[in-house]
Amino acid sequence: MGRFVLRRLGTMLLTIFVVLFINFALIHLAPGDPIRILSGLDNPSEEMIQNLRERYGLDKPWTIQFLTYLKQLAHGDLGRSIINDQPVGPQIFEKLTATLVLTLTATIAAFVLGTVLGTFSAFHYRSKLDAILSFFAYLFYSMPSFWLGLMLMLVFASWLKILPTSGMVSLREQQQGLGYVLDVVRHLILPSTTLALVYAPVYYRITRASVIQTLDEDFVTTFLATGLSKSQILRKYVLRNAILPTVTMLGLHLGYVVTGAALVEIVFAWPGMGRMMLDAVFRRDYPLLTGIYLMISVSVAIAIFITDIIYSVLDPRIRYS
Amino acid sequence: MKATYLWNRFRQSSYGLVGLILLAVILMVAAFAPFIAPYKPNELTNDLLAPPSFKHFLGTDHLGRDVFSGVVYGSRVSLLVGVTAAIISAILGTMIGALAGYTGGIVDELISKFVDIFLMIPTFFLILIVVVLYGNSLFYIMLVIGGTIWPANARLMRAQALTLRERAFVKAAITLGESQFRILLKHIIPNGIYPIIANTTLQMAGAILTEAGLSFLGLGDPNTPSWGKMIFEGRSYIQTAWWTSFFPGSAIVLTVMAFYFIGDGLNFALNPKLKEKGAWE
Repeated sequence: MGRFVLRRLGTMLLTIFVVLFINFALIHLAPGDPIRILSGLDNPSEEMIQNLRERYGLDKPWTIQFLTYLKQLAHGDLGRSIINDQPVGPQIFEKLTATLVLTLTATIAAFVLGTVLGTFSAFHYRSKLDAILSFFAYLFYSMPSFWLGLMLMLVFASWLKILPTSGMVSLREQQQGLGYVLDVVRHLILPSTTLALVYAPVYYRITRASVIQTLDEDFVTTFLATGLSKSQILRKYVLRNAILPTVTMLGLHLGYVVTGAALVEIVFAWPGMGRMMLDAVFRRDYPLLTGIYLMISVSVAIAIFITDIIYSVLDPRIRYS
Repeated sequence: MKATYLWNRFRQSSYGLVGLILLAVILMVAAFAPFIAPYKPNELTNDLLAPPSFKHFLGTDHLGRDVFSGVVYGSRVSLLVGVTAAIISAILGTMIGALAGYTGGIVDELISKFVDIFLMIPTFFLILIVVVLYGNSLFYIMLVIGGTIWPANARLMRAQALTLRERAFVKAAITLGESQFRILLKHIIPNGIYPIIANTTLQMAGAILTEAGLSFLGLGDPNTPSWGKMIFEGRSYIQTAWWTSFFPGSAIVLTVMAFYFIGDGLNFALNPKLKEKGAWE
């Protein structure tokens, strides 16, 4: 077990490093001069250019800049935004909370919805309901998340007027305590439903396939022959085996949530990382971009690492592969 | 014989045929766009934000462009991006995966590690950064999508090559002194390509969604009519003119679904373990 954990830890760190490197190289080889944007002038003086270059270390070769960046990271410093001169770390963390609230709600909802319906479908394999559920899984799996968001917003916010269109709180009536929480929940419903509906088919399909396959195994036939009831077999033996692949998917998704939600956040003006990411991209704010990308890659790598460990506890076979 | 068997299995899959028919219709629309669309995609008519009517089947947008014509012409961009990006990914993935699996040793180790790591990186953000930094022409978008999604194919092909190189006919070819390159091209790749074909169909769907997402962020090719861009532009008028974003979005859903149907049908055909009936009944 110890060796397995160590090996996975190594892969995780290597992944983070590679991501940092790709990201850093990409941005520094790209056309476009941040100094010109920074100076805010059409024709900045030589002196000003020189000062700005030195201030942000842009005068050094990119290998040195990369090493400097890594050194700063080791001290917990993610750098300063080129646009507003604020430290990047706190800016990202400020937005991270809103993103996590949205994406975790959506992921959990998708997981529960997908696995429950998937198990149901597998149990009623080839029934009419299975066919209907499978079709809807295809339908939502094929939808662009931002478009589904727009349509839900149109129906529930604009036409029926039962839910707010955008934002995280009502700006007109600022609330405190429980009122605040309820207000956030009301704003959370549409964006998290959108994401949950787009993610749920993934879990549904995996669970369904996995349960169907497990039901086909010899031990199930044996149990059926010994007279064990179907629901008992399902509860005690089938689900335990069939749920494993979904756990892997959950880990992958928990990592992806941070980027995956960006488009939906933009549709609903949810104050998370999505909008900030877009702004950073358009303004060529290098430190902010590398900071966001670092956060994402770290969260993905950690999520996959944790999933691997959980998986290996649930299914010891994996450790020896 | 294999082809007939696969076709029969494909037909037995739940949605394979539906997908094929759907795709055929979309292909026809794309091919005959100028004859189907009543207006030019960028033609500005005098009706602004007009609701669906006999004159404009699916209404018009804020500049008076006919939504139906936009949807018809938009199919070309979506299909082009989806197919090209997925084929780039298939070629890269097949070559690299076959090389890794067939050669083995340190080459395999390095490639596999790289592929594993690449699969863990969230691709949408990477594609987004590249498109913003290096330009958003259609050609570039296809190249970047294809260049980031190939590792999944490489992994599939590697697994195929690993088993194929132990097979008698490959060993025979080695004994006969065929060159490594020829063995890869003539024996390994043709015999291991099937899972890649199924996955490529699924990747076409993914690439179409990615292009739509980029266009929705205003990062699509500014010179071509695309479904994602129509939704992006219609977003501001969603309250008063729902048709400007509803119909292009529906077109995306139908096209993506067609590819998923075909991909799953192919997977079903290729995987003899998947049965028509479970033991449960």
